[in-house]
Amino acid sequence: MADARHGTAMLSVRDVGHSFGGVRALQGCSLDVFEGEICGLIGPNGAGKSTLISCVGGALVPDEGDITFQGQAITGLAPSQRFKLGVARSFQLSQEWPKMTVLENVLVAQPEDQLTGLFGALFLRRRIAEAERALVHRAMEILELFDLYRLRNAYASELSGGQKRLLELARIWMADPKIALLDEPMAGVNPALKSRIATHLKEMREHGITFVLVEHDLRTVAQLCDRVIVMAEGTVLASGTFQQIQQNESVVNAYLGVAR
Amino acid sequence: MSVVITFGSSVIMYVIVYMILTLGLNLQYGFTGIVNFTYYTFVAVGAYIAGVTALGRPQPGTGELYILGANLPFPIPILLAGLAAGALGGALALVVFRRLRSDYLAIVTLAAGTVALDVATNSNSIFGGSNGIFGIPTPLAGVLGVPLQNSYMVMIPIGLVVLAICWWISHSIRNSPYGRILRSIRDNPDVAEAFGHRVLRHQLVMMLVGCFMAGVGGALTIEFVSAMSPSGWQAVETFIVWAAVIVGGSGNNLGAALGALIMQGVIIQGTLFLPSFGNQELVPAIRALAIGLLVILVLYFRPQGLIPEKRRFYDHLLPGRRGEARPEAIPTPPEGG
Repeated sequence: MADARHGTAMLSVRDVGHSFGGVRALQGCSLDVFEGEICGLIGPNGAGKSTLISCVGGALVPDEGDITFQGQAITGLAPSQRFKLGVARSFQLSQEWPKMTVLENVLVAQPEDQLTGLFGALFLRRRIAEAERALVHRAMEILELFDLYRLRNAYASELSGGQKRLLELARIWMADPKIALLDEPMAGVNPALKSRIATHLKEMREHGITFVLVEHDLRTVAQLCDRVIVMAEGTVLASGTFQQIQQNESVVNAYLGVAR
Repeated sequence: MSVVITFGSSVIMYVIVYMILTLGLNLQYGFTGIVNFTYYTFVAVGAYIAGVTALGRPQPGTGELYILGANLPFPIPILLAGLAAGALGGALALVVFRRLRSDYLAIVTLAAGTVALDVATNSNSIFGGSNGIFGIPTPLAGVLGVPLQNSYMVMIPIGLVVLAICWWISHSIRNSPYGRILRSIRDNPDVAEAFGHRVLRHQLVMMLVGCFMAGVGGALTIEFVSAMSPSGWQAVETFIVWAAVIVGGSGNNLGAALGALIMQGVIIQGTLFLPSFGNQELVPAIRALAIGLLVILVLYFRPQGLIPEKRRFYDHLLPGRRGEARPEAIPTPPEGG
C-alpha cells in the first residue's frame, strides 16, 4: 500500500467539491498524481487550481469528496499531519517568515521531534546543540545550491521577489517531502530566474520529490511537466502530455483557444 | 532612614515582579504572536489563589468571605497560583484557537477579562467581592522571625529566585529550535502549520507557560502587599504590562526586563514621589500620561523597542568557518523580482 508502484497513483483526488459561500470553486474534481512526475496544473483564472491545492494541503477541508495519499485517506487531516506524511505546499504569494533570517526560514522546515519541543528546549540542550550543527550544515548546503548562501543572515523580508521564490524552494528541499504542491512558483520572476527555478525543480525531482505545479506560462509547462492537468470551472477538463492536451478540443476552447 | 529602606525595597520588589510579568507576556506576544489582552486577569487569578490557599478559613465574625482557606505553607501557594493561572490561560486559548483565527483572541480576551472582573467583584463568596481578600501572611515570616514591616527581607530573595527561573525558561526557549518554531508561528501561523508545526498546540503551551508566570507574579505581589481586590486588576493594568514589553522591545528578554524596569521602577514608583497637588486624581493622570507618551515616542522613533529582537547568527556552527564573516550590509539583490 505504501509503496506506490508504477501505475498506482501517489495522490488521488476523488469527486472533491468546495464552495466559498455561494461560489462553487471546485465541483466533482478528480485527478491522480503519480510518483516521480512533475505534474502541471493549468487552467484559466478561477478554475479552482489554488482551491484544489489548499484542499490537498489541508488549509481547506473540502465539502465533499475524498483525498488519498499513498493509500491513506487524508481528507480531514490538519496541514501539519499531512506534512508529516510527506505533503508540502507553497503559496501563491510568497509567504516567508519575514522577521526571521533566510537561514532560519530554511531551518524551520525541520520535522518536529523531541528536540523541537518545550521539554527539549529546557532539558536537552546538549543534544540540541549537536542536532543544530548537523541541521545548520545541511541548511547551508541547500542555501548554497540556491545561491542564497551569502544572504543567509538577511531577514527574509529584505529579499527581492525572485529571491523569495528561491527561498521557498530551499525551504521545501529542507523539508524533503514526498510530494510538493507549488502554487505558481514562478509568478513574477524574470525569464532567466524562471529557467533556473525550472532546473532546480528537475534537480529536486531527481532527488525524489514529486511535484504538482500551478503555472500559467505554457512554454514553461511544455518544457518542464511530464503530464498536464487542465482545470476549468472547478473540475478537471483533460489530462495527458502537453501535446495531447494541445489537441483536445474542449481544452482549446476553454483555454488554449485564446492563446496566440 | 528606615522609610527609605522600606520604600526602596518595595520598589525593588515591584520591579522584580514586573520583570516576571513582562517575561511571561513576551513569551506569548514577542515569541509566539499571541495577543493576550487580559494578561493581568491571570495575575489576579494567581494572587487570589495564592491568597486563599495561604490564608486559613475565613473567620465568621469579620464578614470576610472566600473559598478554600487551606492554610498551605510556602511555596505551595505560589505554585498553585501559577498552575491555576496557566490552566485557565490554556483553557481560554483552547476555546478560542480551536474555533477562531488567533487575531480574534485579542477581542475574546478583552471580553473574558471584563467578565472575570465583574464576577469577582459581584460574588462575595469566591474572592471576597469588591473588598477582595487581605491579611495574607508573608511566607516563612514566622519561621525566620522576620517582623511584618520587614517582609521584603524574605520576599526579595524569593522574588529573585522566581525571576531567575522564569529568565532561564525564557532564555532557553529563545535559543532553542522550539523558539524558532514559535517565531515562525508569530510571523505566519498558516505557513508554519503547512510546514508541519502543530500551531494550536504550541500556542496553547505558550498561553500556559506565559500565564503561569503571570500567576506566579500575582502570588508574589499578594504575599508582599498582603491584599488583593478588583480595583487592583482593572483592564488598564494589562495595557501597562503591554506598554512595558513594547517599550523595552518585544521578542527580546532583556528588552522585556528593561521595559519592566522603566515602567514600574521609573514611571509608576517614581511618580509616587510627586507631591500631591491640585485635584487628587492629578498624579495618577500624570502617570497614565507619561506611559502613553512613552509608548508613542518609542513607537515613533524606535518601533522595535529600546532593545530590539536580535538577529540570530549560526555561522559559528559551521565546520571550519566556511565563507566570510558577518556581512556588514546586506548585498543588493542581483536580479529583479
